[in-house]
Amino acid sequence: MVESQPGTILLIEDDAADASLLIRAFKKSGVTNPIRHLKDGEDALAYFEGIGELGDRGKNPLPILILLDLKLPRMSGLELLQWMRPRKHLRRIPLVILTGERDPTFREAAYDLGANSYLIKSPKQEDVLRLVELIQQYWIGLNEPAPIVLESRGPWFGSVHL
Amino acid sequence: MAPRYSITALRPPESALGSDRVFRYLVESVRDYAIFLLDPKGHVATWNPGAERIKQYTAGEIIGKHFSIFYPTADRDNGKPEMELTVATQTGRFEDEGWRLRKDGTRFWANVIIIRVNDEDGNQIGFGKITRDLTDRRLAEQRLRLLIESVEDYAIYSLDTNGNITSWNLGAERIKGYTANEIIGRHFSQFYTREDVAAGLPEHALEIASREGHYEREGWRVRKDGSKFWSNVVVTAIRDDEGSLVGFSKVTRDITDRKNLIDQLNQHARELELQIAEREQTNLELEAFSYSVSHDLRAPLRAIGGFSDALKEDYAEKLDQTGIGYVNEIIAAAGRMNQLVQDLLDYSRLGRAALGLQTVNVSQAVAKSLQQLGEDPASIAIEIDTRYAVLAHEATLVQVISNLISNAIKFHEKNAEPQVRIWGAVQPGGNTMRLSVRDNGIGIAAQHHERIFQVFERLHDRESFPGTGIGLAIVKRAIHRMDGAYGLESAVGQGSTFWIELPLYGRK
Amino acid sequence: MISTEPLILLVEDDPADARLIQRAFEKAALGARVTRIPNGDDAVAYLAGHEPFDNRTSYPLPAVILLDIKLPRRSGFEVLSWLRSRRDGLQRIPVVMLTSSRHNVDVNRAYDLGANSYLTKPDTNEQLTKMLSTFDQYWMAYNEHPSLGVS
Repeated sequence: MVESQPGTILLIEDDAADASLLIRAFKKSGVTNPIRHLKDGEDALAYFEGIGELGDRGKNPLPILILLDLKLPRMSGLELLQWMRPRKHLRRIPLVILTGERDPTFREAAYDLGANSYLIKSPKQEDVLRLVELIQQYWIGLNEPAPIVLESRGPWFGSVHL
Repeated sequence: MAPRYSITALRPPESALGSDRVFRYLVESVRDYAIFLLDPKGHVATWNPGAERIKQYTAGEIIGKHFSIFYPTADRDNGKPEMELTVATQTGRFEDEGWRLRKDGTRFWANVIIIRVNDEDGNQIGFGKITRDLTDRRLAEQRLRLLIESVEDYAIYSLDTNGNITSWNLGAERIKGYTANEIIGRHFSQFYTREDVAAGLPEHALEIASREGHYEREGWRVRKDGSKFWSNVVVTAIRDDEGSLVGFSKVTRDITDRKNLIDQLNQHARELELQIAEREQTNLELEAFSYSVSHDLRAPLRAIGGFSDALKEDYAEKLDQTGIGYVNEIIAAAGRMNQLVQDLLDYSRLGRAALGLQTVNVSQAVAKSLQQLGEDPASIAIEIDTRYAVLAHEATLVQVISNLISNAIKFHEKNAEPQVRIWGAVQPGGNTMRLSVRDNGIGIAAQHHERIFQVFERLHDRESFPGTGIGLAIVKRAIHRMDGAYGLESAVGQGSTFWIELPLYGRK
Repeated sequence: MISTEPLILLVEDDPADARLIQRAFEKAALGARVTRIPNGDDAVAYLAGHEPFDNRTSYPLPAVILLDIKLPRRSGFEVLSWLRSRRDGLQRIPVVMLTSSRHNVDVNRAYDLGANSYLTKPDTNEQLTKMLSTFDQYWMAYNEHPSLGVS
């Protein structure tokens, strides 16, 4: 059984520099939530599907917030969004696109595919910090999360809830 | 009819004869059957080990004697042996089962075949006799018949191929009410209800039984006195060795009592289901009620508190001290009502919702409570092994602990600093953990120890100590729902120790 | 979108709540422009551009919608469902539930119907002001607004 813990933030970002900047900004803003970092869409699939080590819910619980870059190797962010969409237990997790992509077609597509929000990454350090603070204040501090549900595949798994 | 057996003339075996010798050996080695020959007048001409074993005479004692010696006196007087020989002579064969006598006078049940023996020219030269001791089998059959006849709980009887009754037992008499004399020969549809007879059920049963070998059904049957009973009926087809149908056996059981019991159980089950449905309906209504309570009561509270606050802020310069005081009272009252509504909702939810239990780390739960209360953990002495976990509903446990801590802090002497100590201890036996909250507050007199856990019970007026009077009621109900225990050690002026106990889950 | 300043559409039936919310926006001093709609049918009419909201200069499409659940004539869920079923671009408008219900059933339903976010009305003005200030900063200053042309 899981020890009571603050929810996990899942960051799906292939650029190592961007990722470490973001993670550092989270730490600096005082976020205590554990942050999991995945580097591509297929890892994300395994994570969400519960396959293999990434699917071990003891170590890798379902997140309460997903930050998703669009430009990922092997499987783009939009493709991942499309895959997630019919899966109810994933649809209820707030998913924020965090990308450098300024082409509006991507933005429109992301909203159409059910992204909760779309944020543009800034190159500036202090902007990143401010953005992360706001993300934390809004999505962790204010937004009401959907109660965690049992994952729909297979028998009993370990994390039970409301 | 030509005899089926042909045995060559009776002569002592010659030195190098093939088939004679083989046959001799065959007959002489058989021990289970008496196989011997009779002369045309019926005197015993040969003997074999089987005959000696079965009838007890040695060859020397019996050869030359008339075979009627094997028959009981009654049969001899009736001329049965001669009759058998006559039949064998005329038809070539006679087969029978009946009593025979051994040398010592004891009887045995025998299966006997007598055959006419001819020479090569077709002239009769005697008889062959094969006798088998069937005493054991007959005893078994007898026992079975006695058993069937004496069984009272089951009607066991037989029908011929048309459905007429050919045998009856005690059970049949008891269950259906007819004696054997009254019923044997009558048709078994006698026992069926008029509707079933009209529907062709008896014929249907026989048809299925003869087609599939077996038919089992439950249904109403009628006794001799016209009363009905619920029966379990098994019809089995009886066939001879060649597979032709010779009749049916029928076993009927009166299961009216069992049916009544089952009907009662079903009735109970239906009533229970109804009760459950009603209770669920009530629960749904309560749920809807508390849902409205939470919305509809709180909206005006928001307005009261919100506008009072706005008044204070936006019109501060237009209000004097008294005015501001009034506004503060309004805000405070709205806040109290809000708290009351919240507490009541929590309390009522505890009564209905199924609490999903998990393992909850105790020191973390305490930390969360403090966080919720906005208390600085450093101001409270906490001694809890961080590895302990209990089986509980986390959010509820956090609330319980919050209520206890909040009380501990609140009820302090006027000029004293509240000192609160929290510790956890595994109870002797190792199955539960006790979490204790001790304060240096005003204490509680023994006569109030039970009351204070009830809803709306308060020991002090609002001015001395604020509170809704529901906090401890929530503790009591919550602990109850989590299968735990709670208690209090306290006296006036000596502070209080409130404790709760929950099942320990092991160190995590 | 033809407008000077992005619009927050507040769909709220309780006049006291609506008043307090608007006041909180003012207190937050972020220059937020808030239009209040008191019932579900009017919300749909506004978004669809039907009378009396057919003038897009006076009644521009919002950058974000604050939506209560309990509304007369058409519930918040019905409005949300109607909006998300559009194919003319309207379906992309971010919708943030702002309601007093914290019931799991409502939260789940909101996300399932496509709400972007779910906020519960707090008890005090102070909390409300803080909430709406964060809300405004996040959705109006940082979040990228979708364009609402034909998809």
